[in-house]
Amino acid sequence: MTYLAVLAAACPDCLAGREARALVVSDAFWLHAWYAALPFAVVTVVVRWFARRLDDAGDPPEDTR
Amino acid sequence: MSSINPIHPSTRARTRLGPLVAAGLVLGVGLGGFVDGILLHQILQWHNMLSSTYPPLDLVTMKYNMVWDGLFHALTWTMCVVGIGLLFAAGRRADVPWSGRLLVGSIFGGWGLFNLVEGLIDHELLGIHHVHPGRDQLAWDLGFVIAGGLGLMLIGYLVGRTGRRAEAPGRHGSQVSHTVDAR
Repeated sequence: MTYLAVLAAACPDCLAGREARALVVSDAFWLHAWYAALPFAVVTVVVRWFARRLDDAGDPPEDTR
Repeated sequence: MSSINPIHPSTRARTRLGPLVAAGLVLGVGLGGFVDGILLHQILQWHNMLSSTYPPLDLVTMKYNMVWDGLFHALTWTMCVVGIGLLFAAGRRADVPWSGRLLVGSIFGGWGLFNLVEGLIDHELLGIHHVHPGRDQLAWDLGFVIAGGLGLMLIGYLVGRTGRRAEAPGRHGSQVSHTVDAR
């Protein structure tokens, strides 16, 4: 494929773009979306737990006076 | 309403670190995700979001991975927005110490936490991509989890601890509001 043909194929609404978008939608989209979101979901749960634990511990900061 | 005696140390005004730490951790997750996406996906081009599922060998698979990188960045952007919101909310509270070190430590902690969780889930458990695919990919993956995950969390803990020590209650600009028991 020549350089110009590649450029033409890569335009937003040309063959490669259409194929890629169709592949994104048709190939286990929700499973892959879950894969992408899973680390964020886990860290959100950890942060919420940790922040609550920090406040529940209730130890006042050390006095620096 | 709680009554607090300012003389007795056991009943002095209580500070809440949770809101500031949560804001810093969430910001760290978002900013750390951006470092991953910008540095490893785009500048170095070591991997993409689904590059072990669909290796980017031609224009279609490159664009396919580009879409998923974009969705990944959308999630990191969302975390940054949530982190800014939490930081704003924490800044309005009088019982939250306004500590730069605690915030920076929490951001490092969040960055490390993200790398640790993302490294274990995406690289090891799901195997949808690896840090640096090839012969030594396991070493790269483990190095990422240890240095990028646990190492940054340790730095965050050490920096945050100095902030926690330095900040006494009421150094926030707005003073901690409390009711003095008049008995």
